[in-house]
Amino acid sequence: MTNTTVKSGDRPGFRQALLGYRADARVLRWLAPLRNHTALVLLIVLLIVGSLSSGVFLTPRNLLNILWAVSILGIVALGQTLLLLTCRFDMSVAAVVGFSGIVTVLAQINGLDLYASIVVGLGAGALVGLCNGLIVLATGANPFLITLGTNLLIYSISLSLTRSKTLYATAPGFNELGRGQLFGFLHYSVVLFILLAVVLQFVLSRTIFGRTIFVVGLNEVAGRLSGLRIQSTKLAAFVLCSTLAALAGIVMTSRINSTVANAGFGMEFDSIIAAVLGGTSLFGGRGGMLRTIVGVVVLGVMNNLLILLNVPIEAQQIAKGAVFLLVVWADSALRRN
Amino acid sequence: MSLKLLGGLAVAAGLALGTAPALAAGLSICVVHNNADHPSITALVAGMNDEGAIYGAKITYFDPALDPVKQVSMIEDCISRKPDVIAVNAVDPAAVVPALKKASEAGIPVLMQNADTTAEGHAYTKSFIGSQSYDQGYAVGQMIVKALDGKGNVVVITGKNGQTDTVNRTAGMQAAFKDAKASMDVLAVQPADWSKDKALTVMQDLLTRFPKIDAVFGQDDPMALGALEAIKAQDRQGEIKVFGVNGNKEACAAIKAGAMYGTALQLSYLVGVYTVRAAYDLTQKRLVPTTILAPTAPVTPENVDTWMAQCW
Repeated sequence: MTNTTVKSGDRPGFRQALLGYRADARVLRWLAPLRNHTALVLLIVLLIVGSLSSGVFLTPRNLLNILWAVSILGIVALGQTLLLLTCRFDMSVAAVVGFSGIVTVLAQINGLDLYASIVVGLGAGALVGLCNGLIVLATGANPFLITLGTNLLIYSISLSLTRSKTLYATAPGFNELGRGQLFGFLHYSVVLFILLAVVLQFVLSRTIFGRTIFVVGLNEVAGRLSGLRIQSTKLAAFVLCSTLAALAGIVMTSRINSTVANAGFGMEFDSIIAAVLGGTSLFGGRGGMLRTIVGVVVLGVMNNLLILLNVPIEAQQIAKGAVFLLVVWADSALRRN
Repeated sequence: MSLKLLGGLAVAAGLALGTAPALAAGLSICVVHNNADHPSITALVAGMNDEGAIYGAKITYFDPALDPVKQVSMIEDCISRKPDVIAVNAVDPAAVVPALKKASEAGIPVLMQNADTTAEGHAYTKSFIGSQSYDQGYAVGQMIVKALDGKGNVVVITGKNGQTDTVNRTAGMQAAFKDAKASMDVLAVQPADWSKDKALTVMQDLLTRFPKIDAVFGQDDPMALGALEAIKAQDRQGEIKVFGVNGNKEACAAIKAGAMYGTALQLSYLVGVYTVRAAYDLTQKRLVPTTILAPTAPVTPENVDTWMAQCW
């Protein structure tokens, strides 16, 4: 009976299912850290499958394309991660992506220059975040439902602002942000995404604000008793999340040179999936920005591979659904642990 | 006797004169879009408002934003408002049927706009008014055959999987290929959910996957233009001809500039106009044809100047 050698805290059931009874304890101990990195394992598996099954998958150009494709969702997911760490959600990011692009383009149409229009667009996002945060703090209602409400509200405002039309960006040079490349191969939006993740990770692990975010997710009462500024931290998380969604909306508008009210539809769920896939918990207090990078990249690689391998669309959706279930299962299994 | 008859006629005439404008002024239409956030709906609404002004119609619009469940409840809201006519642009052809049945049972005639319901649903509707998405797909198929000389590799970027427009535009394109006996290779049919940005990323992957593509069919102009951005980013403009559906201004301009090759122009404004006329006819108890088609116009580099003014 090799399972008598298991350290306390390990879960024999999990490993037995995975590896069977006769697995060597040393191998198990070596594999143990991977349990916390479902996404990384998935990514490695996908990379192996991809390189074996498609001749073009592992080319630098394709890999860079994948990063470019997911960078916008990635920026949204970073903000969502921040809120998830506090055990909260923002469902209004979908509407904010469209709204910020619309505000930016309207500012350009009304004569503001490139930088001013971007600042106005970001400000619009921050304002939505502030409203979200204030309503949640004032009412104590479920943030999921509150932000679903503001999502609809912002979407309707976007529709009225555009009269349901597509708006085209007018500021010269605006396209550089979404289409331009550093050193001729790395898109600025990818650089922005990675840079933001690194900076936010630093903030999370090295500042009082960052540590307070975790405390809010883990044990708010204890945090308050030890004198941490819980309320303002929550508010700041909402504002940051919405501002990042606004930034993503501006980058998207710059990439396709136009914007519509529903430009970000689906991103509210995709950003949560990406963050949770990376290993940020739905229950708060566990996770991080670098994990979200991995989660976002896994989603991108999956989308890319499904197309490269000519998988029929119905099967594509089955694959995505299965991965999502796997992730949720892994998250709650880890939580019980 | 004859005097009495004359008098009766005069009263009738007076009534007719008195009531006809009143009836027209009272014409009320309740419209449930499939998704208001689309330029074709904007053109349709413009058509309805312009024509409605002539008839003094009061028109109310609802937008379920592509949510079939919301659409059903909005149709129910319409029914409780007791308008003369309800016009519906189906999100999902089958899901909308029970709501149409309710409207018909409440005695309110229903007109389908742009996106039709199923054969079952036709029992409860008076007419379908629109350019049929099948015809648009067919028109694009014909343009592709002509542009490629009957032979080549085609990829299709579709709308949301399973939606009426998506299914019909693909089927129409395939039928055009078959009817022309063209040897087209449809390499991939991949959805981008009517999103320009998704079309860009999907096309990027298709460009990686297929070394030689002759034509791409984006099932609406925003997606065609998104695909064009991906093609530009990989410098493959010379190789690939881009086709769309809608005839929006940006696409027509791209065709004129030589960046796009063709689009099937939907005359949505006319769909709006025809809807108001049909609604008026229904209130006058006139017969209305079960299908009223607004024409689809193939716009190509050769004729783009003629159509430019109609592009929306």
